Amino acid sequence: MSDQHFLLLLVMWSSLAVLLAWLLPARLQATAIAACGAGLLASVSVLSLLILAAYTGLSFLAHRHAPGRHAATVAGIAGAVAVLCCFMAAGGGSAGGIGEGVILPAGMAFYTLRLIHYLLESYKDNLRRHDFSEYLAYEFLPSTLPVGPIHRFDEFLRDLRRRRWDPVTFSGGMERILYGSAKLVVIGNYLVGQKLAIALSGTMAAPGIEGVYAAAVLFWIKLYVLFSGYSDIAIGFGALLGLRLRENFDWPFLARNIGEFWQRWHVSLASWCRDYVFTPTLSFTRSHGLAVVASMLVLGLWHELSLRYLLWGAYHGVGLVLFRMFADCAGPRIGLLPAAMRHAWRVLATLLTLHFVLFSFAVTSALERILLGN
Amino acid sequence: MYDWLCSKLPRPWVNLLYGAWYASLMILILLLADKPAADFYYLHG
Repeated sequence: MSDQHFLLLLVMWSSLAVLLAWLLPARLQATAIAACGAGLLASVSVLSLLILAAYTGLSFLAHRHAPGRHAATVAGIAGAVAVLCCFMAAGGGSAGGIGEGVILPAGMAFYTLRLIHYLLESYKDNLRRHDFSEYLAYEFLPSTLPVGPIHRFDEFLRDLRRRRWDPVTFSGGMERILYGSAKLVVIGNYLVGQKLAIALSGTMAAPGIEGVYAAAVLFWIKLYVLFSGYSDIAIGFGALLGLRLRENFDWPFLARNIGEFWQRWHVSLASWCRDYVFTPTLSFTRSHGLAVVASMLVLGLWHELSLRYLLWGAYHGVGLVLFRMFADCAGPRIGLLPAAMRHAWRVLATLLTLHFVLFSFAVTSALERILLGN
Repeated sequence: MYDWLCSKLPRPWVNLLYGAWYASLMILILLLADKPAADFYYLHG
């Protein structure tokens, strides 16, 4: 399935969800939203729909009949993670595979994170009373199925129940979808994917740091534009439905340190890792460094089950730990510098952070080659 | 942005500007939509 075809399906099913969610009686609206998500999944891969629907049913049964049961929660999470890992391993590690020769069920990487969130919050008894259609609408919200944002059930439920027609929100959503589409098609696909790639092709072919640098710049710009474009479309469709979905990006390349970068890049994933990996690990081990590294390892392996992404997670984890140590030592002294020096430091820190991120894949790929002896 | 423009220009002019901006974006998207696609799957399944 081509990218344009998938984007067209996403827009069609999401638009149908918007239409039905405002036209149907209130009791049918959540079901209609879920049905459109199911329609999107089925038009990509029926297998994906069957797997995710089975998981949704089982997790709701666990919530309804075994609330707060340790065994049910652990079994649910372990099962979801095991299935995700099996599909990723079968697909050569990558979580991206809803195209030809379906490897990973469409949307499963993001679905698994939402499922774990739901099971854990159910275990902690943090979920308000809800029915199956509301949970289905949460898991099968069409615009967030392919690449998030990873929204939270309590926020979704609150918005779903309180949503009212608001022309300002609706027109804001339309504008967001237009900007997201322009990011994808005009900037990501045409300007970066074609024009910039051609302009940099000579430099990328050059041996040494020059080629690596050009390839890294192109990769990260393209990733940012595409990913934030899809997020804009998802958030825009959320607004058309009267839902406020979490923002995913906040000018990440302007971050002044690596900690700030992860508060600005794929925010919904970083906050998921903070809540469900970092905080539990910190409370068990009382070690901030260990909790940070564990979070980044999970974050890395979620992208791809491979040594490269394990190293990538470790690279960011170690970077975060080193930054914290530096900030504890030098932070107060930087605050005492004259204003001009502080400004220069901020610019330098932004550039350092940007290059730490730019080179993350180049460094970890080189490490992987050394470790594998290639 | 809209409110700021409205403080500098008459509202109908601002609406016209916005309309032209949205229309030009839509035309660009339609013109470029058939170009070879960026790899969506590289973002995740």
